[in-house]
Amino acid sequence: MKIPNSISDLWKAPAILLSQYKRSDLPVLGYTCNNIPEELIIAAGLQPFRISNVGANQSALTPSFTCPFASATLENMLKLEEFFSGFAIAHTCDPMWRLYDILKKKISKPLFLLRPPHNTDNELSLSFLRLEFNRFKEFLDKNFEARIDDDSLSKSIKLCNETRDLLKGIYLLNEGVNCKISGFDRFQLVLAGMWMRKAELNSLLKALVVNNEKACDGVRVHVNGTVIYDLNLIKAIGESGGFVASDDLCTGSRYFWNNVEDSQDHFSALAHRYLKKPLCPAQDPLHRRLGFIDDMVEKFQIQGVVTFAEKFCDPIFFDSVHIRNNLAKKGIPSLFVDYENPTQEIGRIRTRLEAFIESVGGGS
Amino acid sequence: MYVGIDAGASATKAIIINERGMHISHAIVPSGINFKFSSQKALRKALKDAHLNSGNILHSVATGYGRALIDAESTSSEITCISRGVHKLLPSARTIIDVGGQDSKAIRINEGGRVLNFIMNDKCAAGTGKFLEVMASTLRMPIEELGKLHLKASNPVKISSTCTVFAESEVISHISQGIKIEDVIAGLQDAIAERIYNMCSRIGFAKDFAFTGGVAKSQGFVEALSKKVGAIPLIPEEPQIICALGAALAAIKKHKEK
Repeated sequence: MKIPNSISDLWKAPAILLSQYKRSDLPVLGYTCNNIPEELIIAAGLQPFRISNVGANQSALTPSFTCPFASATLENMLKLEEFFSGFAIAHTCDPMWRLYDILKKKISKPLFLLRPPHNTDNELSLSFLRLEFNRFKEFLDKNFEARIDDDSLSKSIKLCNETRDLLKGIYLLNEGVNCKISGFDRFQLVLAGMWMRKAELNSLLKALVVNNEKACDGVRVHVNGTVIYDLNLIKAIGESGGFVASDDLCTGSRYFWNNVEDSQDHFSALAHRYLKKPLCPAQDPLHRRLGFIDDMVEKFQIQGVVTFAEKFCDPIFFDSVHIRNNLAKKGIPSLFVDYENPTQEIGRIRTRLEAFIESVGGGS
Repeated sequence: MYVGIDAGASATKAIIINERGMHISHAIVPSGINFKFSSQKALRKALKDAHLNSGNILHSVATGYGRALIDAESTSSEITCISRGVHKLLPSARTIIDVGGQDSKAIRINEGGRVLNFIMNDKCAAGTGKFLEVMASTLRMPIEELGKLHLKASNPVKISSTCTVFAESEVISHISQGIKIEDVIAGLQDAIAERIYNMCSRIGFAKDFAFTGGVAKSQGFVEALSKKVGAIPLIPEEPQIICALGAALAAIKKHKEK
């Protein structure tokens, strides 16, 4: 499968698209987390664009103990402000929430803070998230002269569902012991989904040609952990003799795994989708996260699990202990890789990955 | 003949073995800033000592931090190579502690020498050979002296800092207070032993445990580690070349698979 030129290597400089959007007068709403419903942004006539840490250093505005990802994301928001019409932040983990306070003082664009419930398995959370999404709609309507109605929302839900279906279809090509698309290419497609216009992306995804050749080989690995935009980490697994067959990252399967159901009440359907999607480590309940990893391990015939943990990402550091113990009970080996700057640390990260993959694959 | 080259952060080691895995010769040279150059130098030296030339080499495997930068037919990670090397020489070992110039590692292996679990400290100089190098330099003595003086200590001081830079100021402070240098040295080695022991405890100790890497040559440090673990480690005759040996053993395997 050949990745389209417009997607290949986009992960290295996604801001290229922002210049294009500006030239074509397309208003862009920057968001930080996939708990923000892109459906509402599109229904408001805006282009959603997930802001990454790519190309930014840690911001001097955050304390030294802030997770480097959140800090660099803040830096990018400030650096790229001119390209955005507004921003939306979700309070999933605390550093993200705190970015909101800093941004309030530093930028002049409309800014929204969404508070997705951390406990996701009760009716109260569902009602609460529905109200939060209504509040987000009001923010969009008020600040961007939008009029989100049933019709526009229904269309955007269909469009986003189509993207998710296409991405999931490609993802499932690697089910069982299959290997039709490399982990690296698959992540490139998912990230493009957060940056490109959905209609354009959907056309490209539909035109992808799947051949029957084996696209990759090696120990089948599931990747877990902190948000990953730096695909050198995924590449390093491939270069170390592994094949990233599945993941539960928010820049991976969590972005597209489930759809918004068809309903007369779009806001309830949206709340249901966002609350029931595979969970972020900052959300509860734990057993759902572990269960999702178990399912992926079985579905994709996983031989080992790698957890990438960015320094100071408390939710994943705590989570990793439960994940490791749960996998050990099932005889699945796991590796915990912590880092601060993957680009600079790729040598030592690769040493760990190689050793792990060699040991899982019986290399010694 | 088969070659293993371990391009480590401080030293590059080359070893030549025969098809039965028996040691023919080896060489250890400083890595410097050019792994390619140091690996060629080490290999030339090992070949010369064995009265061989490069035409006698059937397969070579590189390992260590500089493995991707040197001329070898294939590469393997240090963890796998150390395990393979230890298993060859000390088959009863189930836990390995390796303390090198830039990092320290603890590895659990099974009866076949296969890696079961491992943990590394590769981000902080404390707990590595570099820590000892810095301290030897602060104390203005060759690194080999640290081990000897450690054995003369009667009342080791407590070094509380786990950071190389802060530990250095702590050492200076102890010396200026008139504390005997051997007690300061023993305190330093105890501090590293404790750090390494804590790291190993996270993957669990299994008897017997082997100790490899350049730091295993320091008698004083071996004593500090033995005291902390409560057991005497198995140490190969030349602990610094075990990783290279594992690479050479991998070369035999790779050659057979060709």
